[in-house]
Amino acid sequence: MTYKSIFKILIVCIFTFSALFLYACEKENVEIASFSDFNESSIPAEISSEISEESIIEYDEVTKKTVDKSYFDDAVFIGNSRTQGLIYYNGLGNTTAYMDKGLKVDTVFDKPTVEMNGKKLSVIEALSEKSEFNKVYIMLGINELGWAYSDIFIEKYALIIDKIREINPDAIIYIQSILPVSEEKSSSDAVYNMDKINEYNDLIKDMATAKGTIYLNVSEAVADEDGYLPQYASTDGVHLNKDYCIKWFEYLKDNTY
Amino acid sequence: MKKIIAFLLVSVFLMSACGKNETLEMNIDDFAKELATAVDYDDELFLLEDEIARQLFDLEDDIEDIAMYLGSGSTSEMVAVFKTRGKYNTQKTYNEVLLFLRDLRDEYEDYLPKEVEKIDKFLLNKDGEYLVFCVTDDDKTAQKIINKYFN
Repeated sequence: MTYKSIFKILIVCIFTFSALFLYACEKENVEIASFSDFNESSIPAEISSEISEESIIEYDEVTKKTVDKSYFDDAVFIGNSRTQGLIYYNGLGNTTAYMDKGLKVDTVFDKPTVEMNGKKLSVIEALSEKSEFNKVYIMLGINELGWAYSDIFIEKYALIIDKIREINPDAIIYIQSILPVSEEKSSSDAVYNMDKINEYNDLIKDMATAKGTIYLNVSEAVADEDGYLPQYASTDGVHLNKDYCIKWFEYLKDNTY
Repeated sequence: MKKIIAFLLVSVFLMSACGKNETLEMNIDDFAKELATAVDYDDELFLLEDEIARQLFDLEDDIEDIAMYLGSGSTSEMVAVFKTRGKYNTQKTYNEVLLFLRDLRDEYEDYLPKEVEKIDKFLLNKDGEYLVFCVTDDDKTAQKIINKYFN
């Protein structure tokens, strides 16, 4: 074998390795950019519960965008009386909203809440009937703060995500944190207080991350510097007035993927 | 004497009948605003966009205009004034509002039972092509305002 042949083989090898390296980098970029494809099935079970805070922030930086109201036309909102305020006060007439004042993670499955074609359906039944949505926004938890076992709450919440994935595997699922209550409410109520809300929000965040959904810390849109809902934002310390529902919606518009 | 009394009675009857035939005209935005601001509520009420207010009732073909104020959800308090497309539509609207209030009661019965008493005191009045309803503890003040517009 001449030196010339060896040189040729070396050149071919270098070229091949370079091509493979570039292909691998390209693949990595695609995976980061397509956050909508990021779902539970793509995460090994043993890793899913250990996704670091840093990785979520990295996704945020890459894919976060601000949208206008029309983004929510093909969305479904699922929530309780607080979500009713969001929908009504922001004039979200083109979006679909399955809401009930006392909606909880268990009644989502069995309480006839949504009127559709002359029948009253549970939220899950309604989602199955009309499954063409592209995004789902969920906020639940305030009505479950008094439950004896928070692990039952989060298990039921996780079941909702599984069911939505079964109904529409392509929909982007946004899980919103439980909004804060006022300081006065928090200090005077054994159930509706910030200790409980923070405990539940930690569980919700872990579950949302493990399930590969998008966790939105909407609390930061409405909380004061101490983490409470300002007194003037609500008459009862729980339900947001129009101005604060608008702040909440602005946050949703600024945090889409 | 009998003739005079009979004449007076007929005159009174005719005058009252004429009065009833007058077409009622009002600004429903002003009416709803007065009910939302001059009556006492525990919650703060805010005006809804027309599209949202219409969606709360299954009355697309019956309503010409609507003005509705709604609270944050901390109470059941609300106000709505409708201008319908005719007296027949007013009756349909009346029936639909009753169903709406029944559902509201059901919803609050589980959620905030103390609100049920307030919902049970609802005011629902209609006159010609106009209909108003109001849920408040201050029902006496609300009724006075309604009477001012309807009588």
